[in-house]
Parts: sequence; C-alpha cells; structure tokens
Amino acid sequence: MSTENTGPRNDDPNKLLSENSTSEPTANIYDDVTSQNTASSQDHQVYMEGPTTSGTGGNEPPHTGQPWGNGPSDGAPSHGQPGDISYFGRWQDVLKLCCWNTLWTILTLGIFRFWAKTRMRRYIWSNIVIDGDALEYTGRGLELFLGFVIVTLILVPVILALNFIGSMLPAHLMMLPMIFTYIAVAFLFFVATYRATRYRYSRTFWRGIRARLSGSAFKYALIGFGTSIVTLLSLGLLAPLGFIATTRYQTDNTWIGDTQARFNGTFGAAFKRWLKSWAILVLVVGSVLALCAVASGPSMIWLPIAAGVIAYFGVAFVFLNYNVWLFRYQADCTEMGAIRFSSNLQTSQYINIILRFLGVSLLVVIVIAVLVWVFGGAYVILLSNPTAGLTSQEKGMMILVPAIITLLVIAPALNIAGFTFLVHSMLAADISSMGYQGEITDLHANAEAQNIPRTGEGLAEAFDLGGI
Amino acid sequence: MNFNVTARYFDGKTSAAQNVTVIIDDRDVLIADPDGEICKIARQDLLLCEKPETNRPLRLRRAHDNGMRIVFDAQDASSVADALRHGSPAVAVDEASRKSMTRLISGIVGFTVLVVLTIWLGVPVAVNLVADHYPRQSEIALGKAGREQILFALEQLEDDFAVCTPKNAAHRAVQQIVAQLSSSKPFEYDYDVTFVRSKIPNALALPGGQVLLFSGLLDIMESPEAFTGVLAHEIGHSEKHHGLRNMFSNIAVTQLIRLISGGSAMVPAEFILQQGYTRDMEREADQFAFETMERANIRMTDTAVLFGKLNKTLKDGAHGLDLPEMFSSHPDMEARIAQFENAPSTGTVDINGQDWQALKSACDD
Repeated sequence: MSTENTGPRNDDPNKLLSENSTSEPTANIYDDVTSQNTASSQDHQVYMEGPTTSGTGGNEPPHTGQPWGNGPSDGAPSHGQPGDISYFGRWQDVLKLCCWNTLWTILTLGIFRFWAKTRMRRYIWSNIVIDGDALEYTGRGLELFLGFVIVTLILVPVILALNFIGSMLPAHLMMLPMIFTYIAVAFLFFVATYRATRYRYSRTFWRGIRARLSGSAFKYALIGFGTSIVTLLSLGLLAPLGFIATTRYQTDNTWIGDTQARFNGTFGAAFKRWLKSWAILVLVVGSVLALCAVASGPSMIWLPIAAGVIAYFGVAFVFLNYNVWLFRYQADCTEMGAIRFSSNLQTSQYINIILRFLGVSLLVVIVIAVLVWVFGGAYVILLSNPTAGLTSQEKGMMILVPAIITLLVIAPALNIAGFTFLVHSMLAADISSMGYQGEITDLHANAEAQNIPRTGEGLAEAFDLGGI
Repeated sequence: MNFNVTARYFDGKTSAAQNVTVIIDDRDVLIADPDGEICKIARQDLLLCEKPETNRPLRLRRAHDNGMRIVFDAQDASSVADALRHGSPAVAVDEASRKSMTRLISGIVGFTVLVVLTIWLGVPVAVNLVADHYPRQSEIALGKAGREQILFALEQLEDDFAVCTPKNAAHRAVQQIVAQLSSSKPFEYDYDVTFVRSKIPNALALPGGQVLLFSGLLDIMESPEAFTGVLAHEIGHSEKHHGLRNMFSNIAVTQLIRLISGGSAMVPAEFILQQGYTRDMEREADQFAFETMERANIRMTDTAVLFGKLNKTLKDGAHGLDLPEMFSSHPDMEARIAQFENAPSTGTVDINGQDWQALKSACDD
C-alpha cells in the first residue's frame, strides 16, 4: 500500500475510472488504481484556481476559491503550496451565515447561539488551508449547550450561597462577597479561556489527526492571574510577562497528534519592544494631564479636549502596533515538529479593517436613523394630535414598542457588522499573514488525544467571553 | 446506481494519504485501494465535514469520528455531493440534516417551554417552600443585617439622609398601632420601625419584622389611619416572607433566563418577569393590609387618599405618559385606590393626638 505524506492530488479520475460508471466490476477498479497510486503530492492542487489572477494582495476579500492575504499578484498559484497558510473565507458568506444565525437566535430566544457558533466555526476552520488541506471543526452545538447547562447548574448554589453570605454580613463588610466574586471571576476567566481552548483544539482536525491541548487549566489560571497582578502593580510596565508566560504554557501544551508545539519567545525581547510603547503611552497621558492642568481658563477649554482626542488615537495606534508586532513575534517563535511559523502581518492591514468597519457601522446607523425618522414621524404626529384621543397608557406603549423594536434591530445589526467586518476580517488577515518553513512530516494520532472533553466551553459561555 | 470516483483517504492514525477509489451506491460507500477493499461504510454512518462549496474539495468522515477522512478533489466535489445528497439516507453535515434540524427545533421549543413553565409555575412553588421552611431566627438576623446595609448604602448616596431619633411617644404610637392590627390575629414577628430622613416618599419591609419609613412619605400622611395603612402593607410583606421570596426568586429567574438567552439579550424579559413577581407580592401585601385593617375595624379611606397623592406624584414625574402595568413593580394604582376607598371599615386608630404628632414629626429635629 503506497502512501503520501503530504498534500492533495490532481490525478484525473478519468484515467483511473470511468466516471459515474454503474455496477463497475470491483476487480477492474482495483487494477486501475494500482497503476496510479503513487502520484507525488507536491504538484497537486485541491483548491481550484479562479479564471482571473489569484492572490488578492493586502487584506481585500477574495473571490470564490481564492485566498486572502499577500499572495503574488502575477497570476501564479498562491495556495496549496508548501509554506502557505491561506484563508479562503469570504465576507459575503460570513455575512449571510451571520444573518441566518442571528435570525435563528432571535427566533429561539437565544438558545440557537450554540449551534450558530458551531456553524460559524465549521465555516472558518474549513477555510484555513495548510499545505493544501483545510482544517476541520467537528464540534457540535449540543456539546456547547450541555456544557453551559452543567456550569449554570453548578453556579446556581454558589451564587445562592454568596448572596446569602452577603446579606448576613455587617454593613461595613457587605462589599466583601462582591470583591471576592470579582477576584474569583478574574481567576476563573483564565480557567474558562483555557478550558474553552482545550475543547476547540479537541474538535480540530487536520488530515484526520486531532489537535489537543494538554496541561492544567488551573495552572494556566495561576500563571495568568499572577502575572496580571504583577502587571497591575507595575502600572502596565511588565505587561509582556503575562503574554509570554501564558503563551508559552499554552503553546508548549499544544499537540497535533503526537507532535508537540514549542514556543521560544522570551520576556526580554517582548519587554524591549513594549518599553517603547509604554514610554510613549506614559508620555502621551502625562502630556494630556499637564495640558488639562495648565489650560484652565475658559478660552483654553478646547485645548485639553483636542489633545485628548489626538491622544486617544495616538494611544490606540500604539496599542495596535504593539499587538501586531506581538502576533508576528508569537508566530516567529512557534515551532511545530520540524516546521517553524512566521507572519508578515502589518498594522496598516488592521487600520484598513477598522476604517472599513467604522464606515459600515456608520452606514448601518444612518439607514436605521432614516427608517426611524421616516416611520417615527408618523408616530410623533399621532402622539401630538389631541383629536386622536389616545390614553396616557396608549401613548406610553406607542413610545415604548418602537423603541424596543429599534433596539432589537440596532444591536443585532451592529453585531453582524462587527463580526463580519471586524472580527472575521482581522482573523482572515492574521491567518493569511502566516506561513511556515520546514517540511511537514507525517503526523501520528496520539492515543491520549482520544480522551476528549464530552461537553465544552460552559464556563466561558457562563462568563459570556464571546469570540469565535 | 453506483458512482465511482478517486479520492484521498486518511485512516485517522497518520496524516499520510492513500489514493483510493470510492464507490458510492444507494446504501453504502465502499473504499478500496489497489490491494483490495479498505472498508465499507453505511451511508447513515457518514457525515460531510462541511457544506459543499464551489471549487472546494469535499470531505467525508464517520459519524462516530475515528479520524478517518475521505477527501474528494475540487473538480469531483459537486458530482460527489450530488450522489451523496440524493441517496437515501442523504449524507449531510453534522446537525444540519433535515432530520437533525427538526429534532433541534423540537428540542429548543421543548426546552424553552420547560424553562418558561419552571419560571411560571415551578419557581413560585419552590421559593415559597424554601421561604416557609427557612429558620425564623435566621430571617430575623437577615432583616437586621439588611437594615444596616441599606442605611449604610443610603448614607453614601443621599446627602440629606439621616436615621431619625423620634420621641418615645412616636415609638409608643407605633407599638399601639401594631397591637391594634394584631389584636385578632397575632403576627409572626415583633415589628421594629426605623424612621429615616429622605425626600423619597417610600417605605420598605425587610425580612423578620424590620420596616424602614422615609420622612418623604410621613410628610404627606394626613392621619394615623393613613400611617396604619402603610404599616399594615409593610407588615404584610414581612408576614408573607416577601424579602426571602424576592431574594430566592431573583436568583432563580436570573439563572433560568440565562439558560435560554445567555448574555444580556434577555434583560427586558428578565426585568418584566421580576416586575411580575414584585407586583404579585405588592398585591398580596395590599390584600393582607386590607384584611388586617378590616378585622381591626380601621378605616381605609385615608390610605386611599395617600395612594392618590403618590399616584399624582408618579404621574407628574411621567409627563403624561403611563406605562402598562407589566412594566411596573406595583399594581395599577387606580385599582388599589378603589379597593381601599370602598372598604366598609369606619373605625379609627387608638392613639391620641400628641402621639400622632410625635409620629408625624419623627424626623423633624
């Protein structure tokens, strides 16, 4: 039996078999396969090229069958090749899926959200193509739902007990349960994040091999919580410590089959880069505060406001720039078996995405405002007309009902826009910025990987952590 | 009809692919390599890994996932998808077949009905059961701690706030009114009224016999009978364990609503449900006050007048708009006024004018 260790084929099936043949004698089929079964993988192509040039460049959404990202613009194939990590998801598909998911979620009073999340993940995973083969998400909505039900049932007595204890405490101690709750939630946030990641990995396959996250969620939470306190005490100066420590723990416990990932990043490198950003942040915030103190006269009132707005955008840019660098650094320092990842993500890609999202959000708000203005006008005329003979209760309802409907439209519309044009676009830019060096060797299933969580993400869902 | 096509086969043990021939017939999918048959899988045991897309490969896996994958090239994908979809049973994505969707929708509807029934019928029964069996001494301690916490919080929130120190005559008047109200049917708790200086016209009942009365309400009372109406209402909350019931039902309803909605999407529903519970308790306290004052033969028209004043204040604040009862924590005020206005009792409270003045001016330092 011959095997290939990588990639897809492009063997013409007509060479092997007559297509759609009926009741073909099995023996003949085997004979035909024998002659063709040793095809090399490197020159095969699973994802079909579109008729036009491929590689859309920058972060423009792709056409069907073409990837996002910075592929070559000369029409050469940009995916399915060694070293490529491509993303083929399209914003049009995501928008359509988001709309359907939102509609179903509203119609089912929210319960469908677990299945909605699963459908979206399935779409996203299946569009991440590594070495010609896509990832695969096999999670089920039912697993997420059961995970959430179990965690809710566990949390109810805890919440009851905290409420009871809180109500029995002397007045000056009554904030204690709340403080305790905040600390516990901050700690459990890390536990929930790790457990949710463990579940997602356990439902992720590539070429039939399951991914896995080993390690302890409690230990991860200790690292994350401990470094968060250090960050807080150092006024943010030591922020990279938390990132490096948690990323190292998580990456070093990441497996695909029996191949383990490694993170080689160091605090020193991240700190060196962060120090510049932190100094700029301190300088900007300090300058604005100084301006506020100096410009106290009524004629100078505009100065701190203008400086504040400029500072806000400046700080946002510094954070964005640092996070993009951190993503590249994380990719560059991650190894999986014989391969080493890399990323060429640029801050300008994120800025383009954010500007596009703001434009779309503005458009959504304008459309809704026009609708409210047009249809709301009729209400105002009716409400202010004394001959209509409306009671005060009817007037109240006439204001309340359209207000609720408007809120019910605005919130989902902005959610859909946010996911499609911000979250998904950033994810697409992240993935398609990545590549790898080295040869993908055969992966082997790990026996331990079969001990998979049966339900998932209950704690993360209980804390409404969001995300994909 | 048989459909033959080549594919790549991953056995779930290694990531190495084998070139195979796949034969799809009406019942099974047969996978074969040059050495012979690898396996035969019934169609109902197979799932599509994702929805078929144009120019995309198509992948199959087992329903009981063992890592086995069959990957058809993009050029074969649509014909393979047709062959798989049009057989019986059709091969679909997990949780996306028509049967799965029907089952899912039925499950969601059933679960929602279950949660709604639990909130509507189960929670009140369970909460009453817990409240009725809750140790009385613990309830009294809870009420005292609650009073301290509320006073502490009000002190931080309102500048003019202060706990009043009324004359003994005021306390005597309160004890006299409580004694008169409980003359034919004793109360479960000893009642302790705390007067607080605040412009808000309100009164609160806490578990175990603690009552807070705000000077804003005292100021608009014109007679001891009006005061008695308010006190009887607050005593009703305590006797019916509304403080405990409210605490337990809040937690239960919040968690049950979260089971359905998860995040903040159901905040309006949660608000309306909570208001519904509170409204029922207000009705119960009104009924308790009505029956207690009727037994003690104390006239209720003064209480109706007081409710009328409160109603006017609320309406003035609402600028002519009146929300339906379902959005309010209290029952419809007009109905409450009518109930007390039409009460047959005509007697008065047995306190003298001086004691009433002491009570009325409890917060006038």
